[in-house]
Amino acid sequence: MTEVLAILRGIHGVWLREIMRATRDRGQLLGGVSRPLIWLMILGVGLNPYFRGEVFGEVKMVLPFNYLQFLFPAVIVLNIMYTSIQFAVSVIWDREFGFLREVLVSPMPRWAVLLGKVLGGATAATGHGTLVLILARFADVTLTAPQVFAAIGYMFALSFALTCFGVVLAGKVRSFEGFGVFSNTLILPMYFASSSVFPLDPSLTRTQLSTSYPEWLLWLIRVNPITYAVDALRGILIGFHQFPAMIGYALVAAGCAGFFAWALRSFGK
Amino acid sequence: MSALAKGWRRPLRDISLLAGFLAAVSFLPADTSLAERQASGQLRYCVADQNSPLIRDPAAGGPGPELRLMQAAAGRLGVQLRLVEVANIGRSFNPADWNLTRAQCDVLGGGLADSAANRGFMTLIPTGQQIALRRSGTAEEPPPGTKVGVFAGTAGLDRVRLSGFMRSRGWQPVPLRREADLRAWIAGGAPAIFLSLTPLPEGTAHHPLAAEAGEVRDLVFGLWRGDTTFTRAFREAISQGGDAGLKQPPPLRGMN
Repeated sequence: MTEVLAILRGIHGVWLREIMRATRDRGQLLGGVSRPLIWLMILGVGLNPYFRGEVFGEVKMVLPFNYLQFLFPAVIVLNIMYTSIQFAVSVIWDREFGFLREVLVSPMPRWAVLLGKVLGGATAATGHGTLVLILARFADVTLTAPQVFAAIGYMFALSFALTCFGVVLAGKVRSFEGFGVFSNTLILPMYFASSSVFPLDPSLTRTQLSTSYPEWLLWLIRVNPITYAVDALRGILIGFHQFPAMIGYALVAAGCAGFFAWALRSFGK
Repeated sequence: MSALAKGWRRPLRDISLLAGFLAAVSFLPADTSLAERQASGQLRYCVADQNSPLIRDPAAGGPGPELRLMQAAAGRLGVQLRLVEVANIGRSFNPADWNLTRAQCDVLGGGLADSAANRGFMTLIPTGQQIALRRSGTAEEPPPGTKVGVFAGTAGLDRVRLSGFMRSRGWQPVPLRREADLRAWIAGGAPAIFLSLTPLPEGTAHHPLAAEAGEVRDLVFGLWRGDTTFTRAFREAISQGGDAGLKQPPPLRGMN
């Protein structure tokens, strides 16, 4: 029993350190606010008129939402992706400056150290996702309390999976500079190829879709797990799915378990 | 104050400032749709027929329930309501042929049903009314081969489904374009299928249609999708209900 309490205290300590570091990093906080402002208030407002209805019966976007509402959940996922994956920088930092070595030689099991770090990263990423919810009024998304709680719960699970993925990446990349390039060539392509900024009309058949988008792009979107992560959050926030809802939840759950196991294998190598 | 609490003061202040900034920014207008209507001072409300019972109360002669709601909403938005009758509505199966554009209408109503097709075209806001198809004539269904008048109006009910239902019964549909045509058809003693809100000659017996012909649907106001600020303001104005809280409902500006 004392052993369990000691491990829990250790996890709490590592988690608290990550939270303190995330909240004291003003650059990271500003990034968490500037991203939604740029994506929602500049890109969203700029493109909204092009998806607007002009003639009754004419189809531009056969979704019962305007472009801002459609984009809103995707911007939250983008904020979470950046914060979670960038969390790997803290792992590289700890490795570079010896903190990780000190923690790993402590009596705490390796999985508990990793869990504390990942929980800290996931909490920070969830915080960044939750900040975007404040802009719901701007996007004309009406949220109820159960929706907000469900969204925060889902965001935490997604953040956990992506933070573990960040730790896996940190195990592959040995320098800060290398990670910067790596993350930019990973986050943005995954985000854009996820039907986050343009809709795949669910009322169209596969053949009809192929006339709107080239087959290779449809393939990329369908194999991209972020597609389903965004789709599940859209289901929670605006009640709209382009794919069966369970795919998103199942992928995030599998991501949490799979990436944690993978991260544990590479952690502290 | 403990050192730990002191240590959290700055991060908490930063987060509060950023959250406050985002909250303030969320009050910026996302588009000019509301400002444009308020600058023009009028709200164009397009209907198929200004004599529909939703627009004109056939018993009292005053405004019908939907028009009263619109008048109150226009008053709350600080604009005058302009009723625009668009005779094109319902003339073709393809709504694109009705030539209803943003330049012509701000809100579409007067019998618009909440359907998947209409949801694809517009943002729909419930009026609190419902609509369904009914059949005039005897309680027993007419035999196959009977000519049955059809007044499907503009509601956006599933006409394909209705057509399939009529085929399954072996009835011959006779399209009736206006309410006057319907009344004349019923006066002639022939059975007809019509929208539940249509005023009928006194004493006309009518019955619900079988479920396979179509379900009861909510009636809605249709707003152009993408008009974010106008839609929010209109929804808020409508949600306050009828003309409660309004000192004097604004008069109609005119009719086209």
